[in-house]
Amino acid sequence: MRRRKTLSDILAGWRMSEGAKEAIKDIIDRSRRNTMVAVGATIIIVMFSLALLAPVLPISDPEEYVDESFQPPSDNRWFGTDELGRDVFSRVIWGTRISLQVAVLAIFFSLLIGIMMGLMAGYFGGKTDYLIAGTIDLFWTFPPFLLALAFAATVAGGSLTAVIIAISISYWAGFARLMRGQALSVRERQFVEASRALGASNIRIMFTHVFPNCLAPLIVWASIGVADAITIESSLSFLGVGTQPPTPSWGYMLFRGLANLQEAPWMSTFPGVVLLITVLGFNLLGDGMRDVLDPRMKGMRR
Amino acid sequence: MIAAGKPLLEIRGLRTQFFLHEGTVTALDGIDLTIYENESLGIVGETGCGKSMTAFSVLRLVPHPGKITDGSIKFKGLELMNLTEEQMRGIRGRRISMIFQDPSSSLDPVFNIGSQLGEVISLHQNIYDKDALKKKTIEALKLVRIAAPESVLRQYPHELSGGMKQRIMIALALSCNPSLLIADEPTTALDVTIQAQILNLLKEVIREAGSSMILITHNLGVVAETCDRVCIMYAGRIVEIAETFELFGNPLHPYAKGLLMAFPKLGEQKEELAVVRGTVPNLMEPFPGCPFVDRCDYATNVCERVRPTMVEVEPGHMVACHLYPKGGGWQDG
Repeated sequence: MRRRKTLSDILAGWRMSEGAKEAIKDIIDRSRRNTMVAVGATIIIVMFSLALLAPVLPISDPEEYVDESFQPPSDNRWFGTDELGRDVFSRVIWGTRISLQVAVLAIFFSLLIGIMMGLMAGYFGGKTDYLIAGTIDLFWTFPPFLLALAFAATVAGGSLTAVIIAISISYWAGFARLMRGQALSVRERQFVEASRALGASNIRIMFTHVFPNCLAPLIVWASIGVADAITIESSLSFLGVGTQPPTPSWGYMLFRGLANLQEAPWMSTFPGVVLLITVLGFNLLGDGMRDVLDPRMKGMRR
Repeated sequence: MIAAGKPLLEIRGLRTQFFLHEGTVTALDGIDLTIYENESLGIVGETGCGKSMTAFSVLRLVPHPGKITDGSIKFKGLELMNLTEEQMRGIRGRRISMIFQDPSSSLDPVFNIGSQLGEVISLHQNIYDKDALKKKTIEALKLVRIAAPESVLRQYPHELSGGMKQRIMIALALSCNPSLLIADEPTTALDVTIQAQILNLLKEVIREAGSSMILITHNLGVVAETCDRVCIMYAGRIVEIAETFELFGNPLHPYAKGLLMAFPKLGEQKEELAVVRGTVPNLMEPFPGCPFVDRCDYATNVCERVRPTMVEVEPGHMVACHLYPKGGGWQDG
């Protein structure tokens, strides 16, 4: 019988120093032992697989009327049907696709803006910092959801792109603030001075030395940010300014389900539970990664 | 030794000031210093006397809110003060390099040694070919006597000892054959046996490369071991410059005398070490006279009022003190 490949075998094939391998192995080992990361990552992997595989899964078209209205969950229709006779199970899975797509892209753009602004503010300091930190504070004064709601309701008209932009605009300030604080402390470290003395330019120091040293907290917050973005997207759709019907979206399904809560509770329960589990997954991963990436938690058992 | 080399770096009237809310601190007050080719010069002085600031000023890296307000720095006849920031970047690391006090924090913790060395080499020599770069980095590590360069290339700073890290900093600094290496207290953070190794290494690699070195330290023992000439700084000014042997045998400035007196000698029984009494003057208040006047046993009225100028008492032995009047001393006798 062939022996199963262990982690060490895989790592042994990589071109890296023994110490780096040890560090990676250590992080993976600790992630495995960390229940939060394990559960969170499993949920996220399942959700992403469902989202990616939605078009090839043997499920009905989410926008087609396939059955009678208000059918309760059965062997055939696991999550029942909605008021127009569409398959709720299929709509929840296609909704995963929309939610993750919007959340991941929105957080990607937030990170992009946040990292650039925060890095510049923290690294250069002085007037640049004054301007950028002021802008960050301006955005920070509004709750992200309110800002996204205002933008989605007034400027953009319900396309997916508009929702992504709305969430990015309302969410970047948090990343920028985090990045700025990190950059402020890293720029004082001696290797920054040393690379300057060896002739490196500001841009080079910022991106090759300051940024990689700020990554750990950003990874943690990005994961929690995706959870937030999913919630914001669903809330916008719930209020009718997010993803527009007939595109399946968890938030809109919740809204339609609310109106029919008496006669068809499955219409809102299932999207709600899936939304909850997905958000929980990203939050668990974020929290767990915080512990895993924190060297002070080394050796602790959870 | 003195007249042998051509001047490599000529600093004239260098003044570096820090503009704080509380007032202006004059960190360097008219530094005149020449470094010749193929020599190593020690700069000695107590904390805050401007040793490191001299180094940063030469590289034009004075930290905010500091500014170089006056003076000229000529490197091989090229006026560094007139260069643009971009031209200056071409000088740093390539023509003039610097190594720092604490090797453990001078290396970036997230990259392995190979990529950090490679970064400097590709930056200054425009080598991007992977194999050529690797060959260059291995050469650089061999230069600093690292036994297994291939494996060290793949290691990260936290896997190396302090001495190894300082060797790598030296390799980084020397990777582009600079004409001048500035070592800012390179051995302070290391233990004594490693200190000796690193100093010997510095001495050897500098000689092999035919470069010059400025060694900044507050340890007179380090200077005695490593340097050809010594420059003693006090409160942002140079008070005495001489060849190492000359200075240790015949210190002229009262501060230099005090420093050497305070240095314990092997085999000597002493109940108490000699001290230089008093503390450094506040650099925020301008003083018209000699900065050492309050701590000096030989101070006279003139020391309070008039700033002493550099006098060449013996050939190559310069001192800034009123005890040695211009045109007096050995010339009269």
